[in-house]
Amino acid sequence: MTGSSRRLFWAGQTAGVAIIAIGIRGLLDERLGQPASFARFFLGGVIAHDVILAPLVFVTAWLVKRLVPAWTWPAVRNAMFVSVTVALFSYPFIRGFGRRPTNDTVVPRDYAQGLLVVIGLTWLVTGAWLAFRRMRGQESSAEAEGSDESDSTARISSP
Amino acid sequence: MNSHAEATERVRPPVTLPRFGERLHDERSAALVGMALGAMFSICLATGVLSHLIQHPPGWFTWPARPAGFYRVSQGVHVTTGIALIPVVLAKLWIVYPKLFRWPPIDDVADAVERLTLLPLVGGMIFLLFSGTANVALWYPWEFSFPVAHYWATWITVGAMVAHVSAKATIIGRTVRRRQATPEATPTTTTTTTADRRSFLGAVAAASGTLAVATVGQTFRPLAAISVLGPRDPRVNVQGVPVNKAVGESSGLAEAVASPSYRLVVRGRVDQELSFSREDLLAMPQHTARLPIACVEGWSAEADWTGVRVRDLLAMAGARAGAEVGVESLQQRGSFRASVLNSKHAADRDTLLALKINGEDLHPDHGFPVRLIGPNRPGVQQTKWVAELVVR
Repeated sequence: MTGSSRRLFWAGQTAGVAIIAIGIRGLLDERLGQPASFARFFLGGVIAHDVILAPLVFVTAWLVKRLVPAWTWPAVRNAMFVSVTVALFSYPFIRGFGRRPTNDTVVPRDYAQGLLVVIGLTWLVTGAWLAFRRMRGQESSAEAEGSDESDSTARISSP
Repeated sequence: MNSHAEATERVRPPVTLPRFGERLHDERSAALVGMALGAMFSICLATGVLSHLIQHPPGWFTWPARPAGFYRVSQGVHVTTGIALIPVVLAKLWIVYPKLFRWPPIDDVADAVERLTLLPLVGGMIFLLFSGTANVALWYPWEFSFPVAHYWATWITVGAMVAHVSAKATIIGRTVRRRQATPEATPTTTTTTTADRRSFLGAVAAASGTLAVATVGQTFRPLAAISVLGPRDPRVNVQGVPVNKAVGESSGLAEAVASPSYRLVVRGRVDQELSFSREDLLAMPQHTARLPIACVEGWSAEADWTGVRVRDLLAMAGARAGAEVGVESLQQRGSFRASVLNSKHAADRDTLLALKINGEDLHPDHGFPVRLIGPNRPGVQQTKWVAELVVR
C-alpha cells in the first residue's frame, strides 16, 4: 500500500466507524422498541444469507451445472438468478402477511400468479435465446466458420 | 506494516473451501457490481434522508409545498430503487462469498479492521432491504419501530460502506480504468471470463429491471396492469384511491367519525377560537385541487379533492401570517394521528380540509368527516378524521 492509499484506508476506517457509532447511538437514543429484536433481525439477515441461502444457491448451482449441457449453463444460471431474486422479494406478498380484514386495498394482487408470470417469461426468453444460439451455432458450423469460442478468441487477438 | 493492498491483491493458493467453480468470483466482478450497488444505494440514501427530514424537520429545514408532486416522485424512486437493489446486493454477496472461507482469515491489523466492517455492511444492507420490503408489504414480524430502525440502520450501513470503499479504493480505481484484474491469465480465459461476466451482469440488470417494472405500477399508473408484483394496485381502491389506515383499525374511531356532535375546532394562537360542524364547512367557499396521496411506502394515486382552504380558516380565526398549524385527528392513538403544516404548507392555496373526493363525500376510510390534503406531503402527513387545527 502506498503512503497515500494507506492514509485513505485509515481515514476511511475512522470516518466509517464514527458514522457507524452515530447510527448505533441513534438507535439507542430514539424510541426504537426492543433493541434485542433489532439485533436479531440485523444479525439474522447475515446468518440467513451466509448459512442458509448462499450454501443452498451454491449446492443447487453445482447440481444443475452437472445436469444441463455445458453451453447452456450461463443462460440457465442467469435465469435461475432472476427467478430466485424475484421469488425472494415476492415471498411476503404471496404469504399475504400484511393483509387485513378491514382494508382490501392492501397487498391486493394474486402474487403467486404474478411470480409465475415473471418466472415463466424469464424461462421463455432464456429458452428462446438458447434455441437461437443453437440454430446459429449449427448454421455457422455447417458453413465452417468456427464456434463461438474461436470467435471470441479471434476478437481479442485483434484488439 | 505488511502491505495490506498487496496482501489482498496477491493471488492466493486455492485453499478456499469448498472450491467455487464459477470464474466470476473475482475483484473485477465485485467492483463492477459494487459500483452499481453504490450508485443505487446513494439514490435510496438521498431520497430516504429527504423523506426523514420532511417528517422530522430540524430548525434549518423547511419543506416547500411546491412542486406539488415532488414527494410522490422522490418516494416512488426510493422504494422502486430499493426493490431493484435486491438482486444487485445478492449478486454482490454471491461474487464475494468464497472470500468468507479464505485462509488465513486475517493477514494483519488493517485486514482485520476491513473484515470487521463487513459485518455492519452486509448486516445493514440485508436489514435495510428486508425491513423495507416487509414495510411495503405491511408486514411487521419484529418488536421495534420500523422508521427508527430503518433510518439509523442506514447510517450504520453508510459508515460501513465508507470504510469498505476506502479499503477497496485501489481495486475500484483499477476497475474504472478497465485494466484486467488477472494479468497472468491467458487471453482466451480472460475473454471467456469477460463474456461470462457480461452475461451475468446482464442478468443482474435484468433481475433488477424486472423487479422495478413488476412493482413501479403502484405509483406510475400506466404500468399498473403489468406491475404484477406491485405492493399496491391503484385500480384496487376506495373512491379512486387505495387506503393505508382504514377507519376500522382504530377502536372507537368509526363511532367518533359518525357522531352528529362532530366539530372541527380551530384554536391556539388565534384571535378567536372557531368551531364548525361538517355542514358549516360545506357552506363555506369550496375549492377543488387535483393532488396525489403519496405514501411513504411508495405507492401513490391522484384524486380531485374538494373542501375548505386551510388559509381561509386561519384568516377567519385571526391567525398571524406565516403561522404553523398542528393538525390533530380524532384518532386517540397512533404515531401518525397528528401532523404539522409549516408556514408554506399552511398558506398554500391547495392545502385543504377536504370534505369530498372525486365529487363524492369522503368515505370514512379516507377521513370522513374532514381530512387534510396538501401538495408535496407524505401520505402520513395528510391527516385523516381531523378534529383540531392548533395554530402556533
